[in-house]
Amino acid sequence: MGPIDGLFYGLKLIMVWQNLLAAFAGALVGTAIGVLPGLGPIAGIAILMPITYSLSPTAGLIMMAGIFYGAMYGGSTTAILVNMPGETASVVTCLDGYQLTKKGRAGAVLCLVAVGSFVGGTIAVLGVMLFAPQLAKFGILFGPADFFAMTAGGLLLLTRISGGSLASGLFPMTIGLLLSTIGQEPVTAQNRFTFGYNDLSAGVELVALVVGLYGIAEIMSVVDSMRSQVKPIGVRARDMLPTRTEWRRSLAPYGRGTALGFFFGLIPGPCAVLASFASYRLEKAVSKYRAEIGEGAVEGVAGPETANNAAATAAMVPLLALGIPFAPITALMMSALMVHGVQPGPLLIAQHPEIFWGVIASMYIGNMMLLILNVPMISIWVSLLRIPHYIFLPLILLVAVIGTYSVRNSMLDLSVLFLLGLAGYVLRKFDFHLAPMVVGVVLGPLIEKHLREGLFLSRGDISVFYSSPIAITIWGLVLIVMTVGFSRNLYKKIFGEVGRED
Amino acid sequence: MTSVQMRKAYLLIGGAGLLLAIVYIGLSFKLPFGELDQPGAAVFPIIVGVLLIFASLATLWEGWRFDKSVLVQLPAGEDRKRVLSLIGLLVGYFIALPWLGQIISSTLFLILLMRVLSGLSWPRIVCYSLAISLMLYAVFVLLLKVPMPRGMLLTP
Repeated sequence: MGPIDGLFYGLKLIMVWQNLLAAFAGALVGTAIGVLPGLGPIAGIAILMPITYSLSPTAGLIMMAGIFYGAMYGGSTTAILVNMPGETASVVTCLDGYQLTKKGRAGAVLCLVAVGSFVGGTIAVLGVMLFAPQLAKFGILFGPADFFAMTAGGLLLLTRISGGSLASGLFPMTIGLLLSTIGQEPVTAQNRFTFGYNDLSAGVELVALVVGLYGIAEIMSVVDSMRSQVKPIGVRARDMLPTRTEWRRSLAPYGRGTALGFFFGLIPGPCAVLASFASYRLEKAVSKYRAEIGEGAVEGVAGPETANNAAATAAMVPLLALGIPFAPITALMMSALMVHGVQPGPLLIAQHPEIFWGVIASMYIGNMMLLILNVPMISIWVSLLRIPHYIFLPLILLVAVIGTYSVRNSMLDLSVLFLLGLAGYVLRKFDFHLAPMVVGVVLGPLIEKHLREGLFLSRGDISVFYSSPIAITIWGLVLIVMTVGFSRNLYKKIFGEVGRED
Repeated sequence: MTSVQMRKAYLLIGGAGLLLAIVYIGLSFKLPFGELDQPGAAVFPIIVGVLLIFASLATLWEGWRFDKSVLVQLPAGEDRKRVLSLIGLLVGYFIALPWLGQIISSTLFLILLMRVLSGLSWPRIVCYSLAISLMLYAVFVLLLKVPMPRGMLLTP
C-alpha cells in the first residue's frame, strides 16, 4: 500500500466513532496532563493504559499517541503563563515565554505555540508516513543478531544521550534490566526471582513501575518544595492574535524546529526534551534576532515548541517500523500492543495495516483537534491552573493508585508503585535518569530473546553478534558514542547546561 | 533546606548496587545455565549482574571523584515534615485498603493528606474528601467496573 492509499485507508478507519473519540479523549486528557504540574505525559499514559486495554489495539494506540502530543501542546501553557513547565520538554519555553507574558504578549505567544505544535506535528507525520514503511522493509532483513544489536546497542546509546555522567544513565538502566528478569523468562517460561509470589510470575507490572517512577516520585518532589501557588493571568480570546511581525518571525523557527525535532525523534533518548533544548540553542546561534532570545523573543518559544511536537511524532518511527521503543512513552505503547496480542516489529505494517495507517491518520485529525482545543479554549486550560494543590495532588495520587491496581487487581503492584516512587524520588534528587530504567524493563526480555535465538541459530558461535554489516555498524556507532562522541563537553555545547532529561 | 554531599550519596548508591549485584549473581547461578548453543535461564541474568557490577563501580568511581563541596539540597523543617507525612500516609493507605475497602480508606487518606497540604478547616476538608472519593468511586468502580477492594472487615 502506497502512502496516499494508506492515508485514505487510515482516514476511513479513523472516521469510526470509537477511534475519533479515542483521539479526542487522548488530546483532551493529554492537554490537561501537560497543563497540570505533578503528572507528566509518561505517568499520565501509564495510568490510563488499563483503560486502553478495553479498546481495540488501533483505538488504544490512537489514544496513547493523543495523550503524548497533547501533553506537548499543554506543557507550554504553564511555562508561558506562570514560568513553570507542565512537562520537561517545555522547560526551555519558560525562558522566553514568561518574559513575553510579562510584556503582555501571553495570548499571542500561546497562539504561536499552538500553531507551531500543529505545524511540527503535522509535517512530522508526513515523515513518519514516508519513512516508517521503508525502514520496516529494511527491518525484515534483520536477523536475531541485528535485532540484538539494535535493542542492546540502542539501550546503551540511550544511557549516554540522556546526558549527565556515565553512571547516572548506566546504573538505572541495569536496574531496569534486572527488574525485567523477574518472572517467567521469555524462552522456556521458567520462573526466576519470584520468591514464591505467584503475582510476580508475570513480572514487575510496567504500569506500577512507570507510575511510581514518574507519578508518585514527581508528586513527592512537588510536595517537598511546595510554595504559595502562582495564580496565572487571565487570557482573553481577543488577545490571542499575534501581530504580523510575530507571525513572520516565527516562520523560520517553525521550519528549523520541525526538521530538528524529526531527527531527534528517530534516535534513542528523551527525544522531545532534547529536541526542544537543541532547537533553542539553534535559534540562539542562527536567528536574525538572536540577541533578543532570553529577553522575550518569539523565536525562543516557536522553535522549541515546534521541535518537541515533531520529535514526539517521529519517535513513533522506531516503534512502528521495527517494534523497538527508544523512549519510555513508546515503550508503554509497545507494551499495550502486546497486551492486545499484536507483536510489534517490521511485519506490523504488513500484518496490521489498520494499526499503522489508523495511527498515522489519527495524528492529522488529533493535531487539528488540539489546535481547536488549545487556541479558542485556552481560558479553560488556564482555569485548571487555579485548582489548589491540596485538591489536585491527592486526586492525582488516588487516580494513580486506582489505575495501577486495576491492571491485575494486585496489592503487590501497589507495593511496587510505592517502592519505585520512593526510589524515583531519591534517584532524581541525585541526578540519575529514569528513562533508561523504564526502557530497560521493556527491552530486557527482547534483548534476552534475541541473544538466545542468536546463540541457538549459530550453534553457540558468539561471532554471529558482530559479523553482519548491520550489527557491525550499530556496535561501531555505540562504541563511538559511548567513548568519545558524546563527551560531557560536546553534550553541553549542543544542549546547554540545562539540557537534562528529568 | 538541609544538604547532603553528592559524593556520599553516590558512594552509598554504588555500594548498595554492588551488594545487590553480588546477591543477584549468586541467585542466578542457581538457575540452569544450559549450553552455549542452547543457553538456559541463567545466562542473561548473569550478564545483567556483571553489568550491574560495572555500573555500581562507575557510580562509586564518580562518587569518589566528586568534590566535597558539591551538595544536594534536601527538604528540611516544614518541607521535610510534609514529605515524610505523605510517605507515612501512603504506607497507611496501602495497609488499610484491603481491610477497610476503597471508599473508607481513600476518604481517610484524603482527609489526612489535605490537612497536611493545607490549612483548611476540618469540616471543609471532610466535604472535599468525601466528594473526591465518591466521584472516583462512581467513575472507576461503578462506570469502568474496576474491582477495587471492598474491605475484608466490612464484607461478611
